[in-house]
Amino acid sequence: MFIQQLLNGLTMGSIYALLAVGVSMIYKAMGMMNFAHGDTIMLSAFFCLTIYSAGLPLWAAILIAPFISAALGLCLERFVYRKLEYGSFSNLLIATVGVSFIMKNSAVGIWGAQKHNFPALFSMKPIHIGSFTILPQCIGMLAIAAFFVGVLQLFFYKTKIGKCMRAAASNAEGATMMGINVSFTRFLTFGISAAFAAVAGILMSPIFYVSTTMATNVATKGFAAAILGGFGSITGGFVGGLILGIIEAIGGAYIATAYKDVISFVVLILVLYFCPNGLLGKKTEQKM
Amino acid sequence: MKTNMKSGALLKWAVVAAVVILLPLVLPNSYFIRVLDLVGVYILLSTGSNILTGFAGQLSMGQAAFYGVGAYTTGLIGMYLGWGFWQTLPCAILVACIFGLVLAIPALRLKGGYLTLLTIGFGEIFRLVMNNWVSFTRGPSGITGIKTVSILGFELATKTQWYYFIFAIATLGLIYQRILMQSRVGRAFIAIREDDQAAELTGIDITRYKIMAFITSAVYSAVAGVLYAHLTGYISPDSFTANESNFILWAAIIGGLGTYLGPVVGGFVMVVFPEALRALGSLRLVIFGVILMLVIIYYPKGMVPFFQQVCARIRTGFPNGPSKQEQKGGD
Amino acid sequence: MALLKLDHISKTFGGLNAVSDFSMEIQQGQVCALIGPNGAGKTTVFNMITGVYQLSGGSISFDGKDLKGVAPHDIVKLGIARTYQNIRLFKKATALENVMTGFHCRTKANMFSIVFQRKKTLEEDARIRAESERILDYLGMLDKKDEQAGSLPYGHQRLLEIARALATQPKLLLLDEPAAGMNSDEKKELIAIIQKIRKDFDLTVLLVEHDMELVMNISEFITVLNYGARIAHGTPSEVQKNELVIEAYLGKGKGK
Repeated sequence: MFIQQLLNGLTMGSIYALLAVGVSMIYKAMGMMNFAHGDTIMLSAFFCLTIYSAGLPLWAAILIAPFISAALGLCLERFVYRKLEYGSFSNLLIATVGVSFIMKNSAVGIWGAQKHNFPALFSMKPIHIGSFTILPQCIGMLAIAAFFVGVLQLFFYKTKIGKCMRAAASNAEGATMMGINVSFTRFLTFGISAAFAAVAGILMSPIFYVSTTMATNVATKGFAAAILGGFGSITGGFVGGLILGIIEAIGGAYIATAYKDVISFVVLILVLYFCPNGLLGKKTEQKM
Repeated sequence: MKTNMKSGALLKWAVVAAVVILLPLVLPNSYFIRVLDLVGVYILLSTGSNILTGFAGQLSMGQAAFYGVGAYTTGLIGMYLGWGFWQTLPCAILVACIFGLVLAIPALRLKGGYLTLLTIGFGEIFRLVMNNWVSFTRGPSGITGIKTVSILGFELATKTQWYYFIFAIATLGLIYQRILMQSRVGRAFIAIREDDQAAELTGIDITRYKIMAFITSAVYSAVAGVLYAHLTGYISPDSFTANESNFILWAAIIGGLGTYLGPVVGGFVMVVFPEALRALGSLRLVIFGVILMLVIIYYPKGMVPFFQQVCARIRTGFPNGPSKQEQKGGD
Repeated sequence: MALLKLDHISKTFGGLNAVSDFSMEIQQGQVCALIGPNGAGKTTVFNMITGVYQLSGGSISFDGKDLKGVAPHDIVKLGIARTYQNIRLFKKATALENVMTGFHCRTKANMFSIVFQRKKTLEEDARIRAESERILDYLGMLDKKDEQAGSLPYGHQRLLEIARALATQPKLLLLDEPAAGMNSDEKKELIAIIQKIRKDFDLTVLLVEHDMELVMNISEFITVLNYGARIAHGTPSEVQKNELVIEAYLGKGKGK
């Protein structure tokens, strides 16, 4: 039972993980909380669905959608967030809330408020391992999430541009003096984060259906997962996401299904209270 | 010069008061007055947000929870005990104090994004509990039949009567905000917003004052919630979503964080604009969102500082105009 | 009796000794300086005195009272005020409001009294407003009182920090590199001001400073810190001749 719930938790966990990585990246690169990330996910799912409905094969739609989302992310950075000075935390934050509001209501205007079906990406036949069952989609999602996080990790730590982006994220002024084009790295980070949102959106679609509210609940939990893993770290976000998914599944099973969502927010608050640097974060005494 | 300034200010406020009093009499129907009633509720909400975020610098995106605390205390007490406004109001204020404290305690250690997420989590927990605790709160179907307010036996029946009642309370709220912010307590809030460590080392007990800011803000929002519940007679968890919290924060930002009249402008914009854009159909919220974004991009300090600039420019153009420099604001 | 007594205090940050076994005494009315190369732990000592950091060892007593476990804002109330190496004013408040905020720990108004004891509140407010204006006037910047602190010129911001500190009515004033970024004229002015306030406000002053001219000019006693430990203590002329000090500054240190 326990292990079964743990396995169930991994499916949601991999979605939270993808979300957490997307928002962590932005938080680290420009110190902003991107509340429009969930809506980018939703829009990406619609892009993919629209392309697919237009008659293109599914694989083509899945390949194209992330690029459209990335383009959208790049535009937002260039035409909205860059106009607000980076550093004004509350204005940036409320701007992302505004962008989220516009995205959501545009989607309602364009695609309507109903749920749309999305073709299954994995076989629905459960796999039996001993006395436990697991859906192929669970394994598939976990594998895909892990793959992309791995790619991202390699990109940030092994490529030159990735290293520049990390440098700019940790100290913008210093990076500028070292000749790194900080506004370009921010621009790029936004694009990558949006493409990442598309991956999450496409993976979510068969489970949640495609609708304008598909990511509303999940988006906040993406932040919770990011906090759990220590905000700003990619692997931390990934692990935090999985942990949150598992806690939720187990909590839902043993406490009350109705309070599944409450449990994850309570966990968020407990983590913030007892170890604000995340479960995986290092504790450091702040020097003045 | 001082008496001159005073009489000028007095004249200005007399005009404002006259407009506020006469407004419902010139509006064509009760629909507009109902919208104005909600503006009044929103003024209180955004004042609460302004005190906490604008003056004390604690960014909260969970204000709808405090709003809901007021509304649900009213609704539940009315449902189970049959009490009216004058009993539910003090209860709601008390419950709001407790909730303010509950949020303040974990908030004391947090800043920036962490604090924001804490407040969001707090708001979501409140809404989810109200939604799922069906046996106690009736869950998603909400609480109906909340009685209207009666003042010394006189029941508020029309939207116009409600308008005067709500605006009287909102005015008191704004006056208290101003008195508070120009006092020792307000200076402590502003010091915490500007640099909380330096504030502590200037002799301010920042723990205590942060808690005070949370509680004050909670009380403002809860009073708004009590009024809202009695005004509409119906509440449900749908009125206290994260989106509502965003709107409340937005009202404070659009008006101008840390200004005395920001909440008025913000409350007006956030309630009236979506109504006024109704003719645009499904696009109205998109356009509303775009308008808000434009304000945030081009007037990041909000509308009130912008109006002040414009007024100052007009005044220098007309040296004989009223010379009171009103509303310096703590921004 | 010493006004401030640091008794073998030490502070470690994750295994790194920022200050180790440091002792120092300041008598009532003295002007003392704490000097040392960059990173010697001077500001850390300030942060320990003001209660920002918990001590890893040793004890601090002020005016006969042990400061262990006293909250930073209560330490201010006991009579220790400070300024900062990088200016930390309440930038968006006016100069006057900054000084008035300094009176916080000497006033009483609360959320209820501002309404129910309106007259008393207004009197108190008028009193500290007048006193704050007097302090600004005393430091020659009364004309700047309504300007935003963050928009004042650098020199005035430094002065305003001193004004805000004076408003807390301290017995001991800690100045953290008050002359940083000042030209020689401004420094001369600063020396005059420190000497003036010390007399007029009956202050004891402890300053951290890199500028030797200022330090030698103003202080009666100098304590030299290097790598978190005290290497010398004495009058300016004694310290100037001390071999260890010369070595710390010229030999291995990278001091100015």
